[in-house]
Amino acid sequence: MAVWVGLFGGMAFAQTEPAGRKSVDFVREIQPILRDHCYECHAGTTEEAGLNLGVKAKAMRGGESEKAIVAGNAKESLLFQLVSGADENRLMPPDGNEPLSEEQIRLLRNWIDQGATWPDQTDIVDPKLQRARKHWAFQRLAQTTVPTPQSKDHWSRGPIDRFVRRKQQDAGLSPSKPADARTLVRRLYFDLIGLPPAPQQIDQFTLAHSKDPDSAVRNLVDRLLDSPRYGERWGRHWLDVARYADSDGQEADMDRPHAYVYRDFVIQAFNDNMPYDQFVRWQIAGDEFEPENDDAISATGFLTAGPAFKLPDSFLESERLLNRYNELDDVISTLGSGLLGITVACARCHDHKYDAFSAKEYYQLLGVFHSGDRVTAKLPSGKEGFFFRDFDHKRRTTWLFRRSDFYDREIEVPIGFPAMLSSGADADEYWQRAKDAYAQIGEAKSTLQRRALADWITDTQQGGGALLARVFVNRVWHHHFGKGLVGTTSDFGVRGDAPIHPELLEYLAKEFVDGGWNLKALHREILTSAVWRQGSTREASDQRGPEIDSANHLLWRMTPQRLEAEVIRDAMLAASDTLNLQAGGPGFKPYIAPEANLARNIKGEGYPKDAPDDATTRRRSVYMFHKRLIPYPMFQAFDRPDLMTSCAARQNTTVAPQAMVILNDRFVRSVARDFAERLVQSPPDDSLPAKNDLRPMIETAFEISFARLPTETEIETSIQFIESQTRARTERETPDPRLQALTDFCQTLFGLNEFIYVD
Amino acid sequence: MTKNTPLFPCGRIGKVTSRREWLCRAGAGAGMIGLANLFSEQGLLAATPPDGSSDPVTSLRPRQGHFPAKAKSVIWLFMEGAPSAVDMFDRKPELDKRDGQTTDIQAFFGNPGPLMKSPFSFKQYGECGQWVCDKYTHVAKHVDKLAFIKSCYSESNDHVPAIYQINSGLPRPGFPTAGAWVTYGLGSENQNLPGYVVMGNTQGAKGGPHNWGAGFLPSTFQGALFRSQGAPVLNLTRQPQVSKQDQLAQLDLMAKLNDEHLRRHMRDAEFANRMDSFELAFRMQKEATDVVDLSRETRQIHELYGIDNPRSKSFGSKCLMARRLVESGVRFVQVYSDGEWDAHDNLDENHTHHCAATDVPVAGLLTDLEQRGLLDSTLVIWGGEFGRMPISQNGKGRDHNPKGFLQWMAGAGIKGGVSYGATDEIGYEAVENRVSVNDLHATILHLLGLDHERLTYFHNGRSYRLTDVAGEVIQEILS
Repeated sequence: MAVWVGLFGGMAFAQTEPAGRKSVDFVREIQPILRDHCYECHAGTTEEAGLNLGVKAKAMRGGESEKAIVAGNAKESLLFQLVSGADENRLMPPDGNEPLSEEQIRLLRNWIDQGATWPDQTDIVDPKLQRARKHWAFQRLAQTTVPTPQSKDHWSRGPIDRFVRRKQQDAGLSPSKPADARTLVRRLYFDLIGLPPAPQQIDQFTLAHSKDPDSAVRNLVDRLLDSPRYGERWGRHWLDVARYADSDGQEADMDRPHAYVYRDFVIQAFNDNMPYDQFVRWQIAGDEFEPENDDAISATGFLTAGPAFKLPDSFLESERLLNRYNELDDVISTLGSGLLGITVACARCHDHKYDAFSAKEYYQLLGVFHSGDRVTAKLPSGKEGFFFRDFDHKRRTTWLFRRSDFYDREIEVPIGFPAMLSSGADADEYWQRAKDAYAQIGEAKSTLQRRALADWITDTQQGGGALLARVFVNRVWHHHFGKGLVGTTSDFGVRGDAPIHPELLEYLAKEFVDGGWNLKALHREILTSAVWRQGSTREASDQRGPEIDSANHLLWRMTPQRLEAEVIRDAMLAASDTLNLQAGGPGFKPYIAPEANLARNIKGEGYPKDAPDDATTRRRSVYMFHKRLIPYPMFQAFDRPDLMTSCAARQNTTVAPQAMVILNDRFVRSVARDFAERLVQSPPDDSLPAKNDLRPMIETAFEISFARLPTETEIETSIQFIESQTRARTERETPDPRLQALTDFCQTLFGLNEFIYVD
Repeated sequence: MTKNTPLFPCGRIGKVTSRREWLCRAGAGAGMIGLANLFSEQGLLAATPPDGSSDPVTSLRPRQGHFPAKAKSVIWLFMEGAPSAVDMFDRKPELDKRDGQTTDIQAFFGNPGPLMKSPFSFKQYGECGQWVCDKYTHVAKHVDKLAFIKSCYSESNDHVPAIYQINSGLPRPGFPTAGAWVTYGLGSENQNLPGYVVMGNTQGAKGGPHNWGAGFLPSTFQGALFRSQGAPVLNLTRQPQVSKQDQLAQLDLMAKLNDEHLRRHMRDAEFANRMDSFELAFRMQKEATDVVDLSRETRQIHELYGIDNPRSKSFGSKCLMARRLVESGVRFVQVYSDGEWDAHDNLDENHTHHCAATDVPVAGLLTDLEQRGLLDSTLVIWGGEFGRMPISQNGKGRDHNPKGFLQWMAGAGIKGGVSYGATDEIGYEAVENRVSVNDLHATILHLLGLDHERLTYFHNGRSYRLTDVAGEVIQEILS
């Protein structure tokens, strides 16, 4: 209704007022229209059809077609003709974009008819850069004021809560009641170490919680952060970002038997709480910081983890070049979205359409890695590794390949870092400083460009550091809550989602950096908050929640989270007490059914057809060998990414193949049987178990699986099931009827929502 | 129904005890009795949860396209290894004339020979007068149904990147394939079967599962590799210790115990969907097993597809299965030929063999689809990942050629008996109305009612399309 009135009003106004009576202000009234509707294709370095509407001289000259602006005559001006829809087939902005409003068209007409006055000094030379300069995510980190504690707020535990509480209050929402001790202990274990708590660990926590909930949580968080299992859990999140796998991924899909040194580096770095800025620097240029350190060199596995395809030298040169530049594209794409949350790949062919990232900057970034390649070679200790290394200390020439044509070698590009994230020092200065610093320890064996980039990307004052921190903190939040404060975890550009709690994100990012890029401190702050400790159930939550904020943006409850593929497998193994905690070293290859264990032309060591199911293949999932062409079917079903490109947020699908894994997979059945055997303390006899034998078993099974005891109804239902299955199996004269009946029961527990969701 | 009453039309919460009977009934109803009953069961299941919180993007439920579709489903006969156009459908008299002349054409594997005329003889067929070689005489009878695209080109000289490209638009692994995009856009008609099925090359998959991968799309849309013998998909068969009755009992217990959990929660749609997924998995065991059971077809049908002949048995079985899948509501079926049309050493021998393996099955499929009225709603595509050189290699073979190759389409929405585009007079390079892989994909999507520019998915900061930033629908071959 309001729109209609507004439109009508505008039209009436247009009819009654003769054109040109009221003078149109270019900067205030016209430029915003051009900026919002035309600049995307007609300004800065993007001059489609030769037209640039950002710069007066160019706009007045027009593009390849007729004159765009004929001062004093809108009707003769192509610009006006096209936006006003005079010609149905040539409407601007093109299909798929919002057309101009009547009011905007009227303003443009009047402006042109009045002589198209364009004051000097108002040109917009680079609109994308101008926009980037104002974009929230590209600013330097700012100090945020934490809301002052309110006297009647007994809920908040710290700053996070006060930020969240304030928004909830504005919306008239209350937070959920805290989750109970058993829910919390299970949630903490899965969140931090990816394994379920054992019964005695549950008891310990519930006892401590009954005395002092805050300190119980604090202590358990500390204990879990100190566990070596923590790095295995949180390292896995990073390995997704790094698209880490153990084979090349193309036709031959050769194994990378030493790729694991990178995986082990990641896990160890998380366990050691390596400052995140150092963690990033090493992954880009560890060898250029500490050339004698195995870990620093292995860290560059981040650059080598992507798919690769070596063609013999006898093959067509164009084919080999295509491969080479695809591989480099993979490196800088991963760097862009994985570290900085910006998309760079578009700029391989043209300037980025929305973000101020030009094709030139793409090739400048590519140039940083153009002087090296992945190698399998000895680490300083003599151990074999798989890492990135420059060919030598000489920088290889890099060109701007227009339209990604790698035979176009006219425009050489020097080293350079994205301008939209830079202020002050340019790339040459970082490079010079890297050279000076390295000179202290010896003669450079590499170009040290990567070290320059590593310093720039972690520099919060003049380089990409502020964005680096925001992207990372948001991901940590994402893993704790199932959703980031910024929904688009890998896109912080101008087209990405805006943060829902901008001040909270800013506060956390600033604290994170000021505290020395300290991840474990960030975990502590989040996990001890009242927000994170909320319940997820209906009884615990504000009844108005679903109506006021069904997406739970305001965090008025905890959203139950589905376990990831690896955690589901590990949790099953833990339940059966057959999980082998052997850490590190070469990956293990589990049995894969013949239906899924086929790929032609694989070179080198093939995938074993008859891998055993024993302790060697019952290690934690993070140590599983990931052969890209033969992915582990259970993981594929449960949304593990294919690890061909960087992935910061996994899909979460619910599909029949997942159910088929639970119902029919050989491994699941066999683990369920081990779980059943664990429940049967005494040697099984084949007689029908008495009711009171079953009760303690069912209680233990529930506690192991869900960290809670069953209700009376659940016990009854379970007893009926096991007895009826034992009877049926006895009648069918199948072996071990009682154990198989219990196995049926345990397998069913694996399939329950409560098993694969964490409340 | 109030917002918080967890009651589904199938009676999940209200009548848990009837569950077992219901599953039994649904299981028995599938297959032979016909699909109408099953579809109505699915209609119930397909109802959106009342709270509307389910994320439609990850579901396989049928969805509307952008505009009315000509085709409901696709059967893509993928001729792996790359057949030669000039030896099959694109007769080049000039090549005959210049046989033996040397050129400056560069070949992928090196060692380029002189121009080589086709070892096969050609005849004209149908009202359209299309030339077809003497090795493909059964397909030749259908030429008036086929639209030939004779000017295709792609980017890579190498099989695997080229197969990636023909499937996903990019000569790199890890991107969603056409079948994934289509099922993402449209869902599938039958929830008891995967929406996107691949009948693989019996010698294994060159380039692996990326060829039917979903890339960054939800894994729901990834192709399911069907085997033509035994259990068609992974985990479809129960473990030996578990009978059908055991599994029904397990599902029963699961429903009861999940019920408790559901009561405590907000009715998160995911929980309900998971319970659905177990029921679907159970019914899929029967339906997927039935659909690949070719013994349900008559002897005449087996003969029609060349299954009675050892040379064409494998590909014929896959073609027949493709028809059965499409008939059951599967959206996208890709059938790989066996071995490779990769005639580096002896084109005559290689293509004679592959023609014999595919000629009768392809013709049989077209006949069968037509006689069942399915050709009006099914798009059939035939072609490889690139083409072959007009020059010889190793004496009598031909090397790879991405500069000019041929595909044909038939069925829903396709104008029969036409040719579009052309290579030069020796068949080396597409010169007239050049057709990129993006154009092919745009055309396929168009026939399915999808606008290739609007079928997008946001990933790592960018909206992706099957056709990247290019692609034009080939209007000239549309009916």
